[in-house]
Amino acid sequence: MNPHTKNVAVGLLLLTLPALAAGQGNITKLGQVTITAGGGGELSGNALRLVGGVQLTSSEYDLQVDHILITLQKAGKKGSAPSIATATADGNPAKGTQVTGRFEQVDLARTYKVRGDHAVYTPDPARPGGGGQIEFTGHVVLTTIAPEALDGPFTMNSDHFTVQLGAGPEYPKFDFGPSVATFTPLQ
Amino acid sequence: MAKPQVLDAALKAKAAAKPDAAANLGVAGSELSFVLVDPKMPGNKIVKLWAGSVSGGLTGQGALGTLNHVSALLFQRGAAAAKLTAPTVKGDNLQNVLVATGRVTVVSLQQLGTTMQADRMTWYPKKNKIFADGHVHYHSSQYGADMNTSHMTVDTLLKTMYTQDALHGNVR
Repeated sequence: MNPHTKNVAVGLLLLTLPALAAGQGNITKLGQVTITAGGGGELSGNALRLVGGVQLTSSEYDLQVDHILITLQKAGKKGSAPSIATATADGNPAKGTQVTGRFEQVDLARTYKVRGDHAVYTPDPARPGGGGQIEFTGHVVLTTIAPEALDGPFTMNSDHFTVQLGAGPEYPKFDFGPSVATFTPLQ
Repeated sequence: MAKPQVLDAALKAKAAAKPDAAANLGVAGSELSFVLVDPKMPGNKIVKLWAGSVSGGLTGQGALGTLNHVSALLFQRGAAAAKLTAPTVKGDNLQNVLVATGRVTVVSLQQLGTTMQADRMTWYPKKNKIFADGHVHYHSSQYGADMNTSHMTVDTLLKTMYTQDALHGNVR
């Protein structure tokens, strides 16, 4: 292991990505979610279950799960309410797969990858432009690459990790419990 | 335009007596409409159907050949559940199975804004199931969802859907 690599125990911390001072642009509403399920699915009432290599992609995230249960909500009077009321996703322990999420911080051109045994999505209609949070639990690992500051990827291990999604340039945001971070500063 | 012919008991009896006389009934090639009633529950309809033309005529058992340019109301427990439109419907054994081909469209009459399209659909009224095959597209305006797959099973109301094949789609 690189002797310069640091393992840092991190307490409860809110990690906020810095917003740009100018050119932040307008907050646009989050768009639709594209779904692919290799094993098919079932819709019963407002419960949508998808199985077998499920991928969910939106402008804010790219999730890969083995199994997901989505509770749908109706469009509302204006016909524009997001379809997803809640969603619960699982990996497949038998196959050694976890729920994997990839999140882009567009303004900083940075990609964050989060994986965990389980994930739960809840929307936050009060957030400008829509959005919500995805809560990862169970053997959670965050990975990101910050080439301007580090030699190699930044990795954080935790039992609990929340990704805040929204339409503004400050998103995604991350909340996490007691964690251990591993990174190597540039010489 | 000629008035649609209604297939009534007299026509059925005539066909049963002379199965080779289907062409003489004037049914083949004509517009046709009929209502199929559940024999076990006379007050309940199974299907109400309109066809732009009929080919194959009327068989001895009162069954129709091939119905073309079809619009049909599918009933469940006596209530209209969905509307089906299709270029072609097989007309035999309609009380047990309806087979529609061409680009088939079903619109739920109770789940507003829910539709399904497929190359072929087979409806089993007694089982309350529609089996859709080929370029299946399921849409729900209520939930802002669109799903595409190769094969899908739904209930007549389009309230539930199931597929074991790969599914692609989006939600709002």
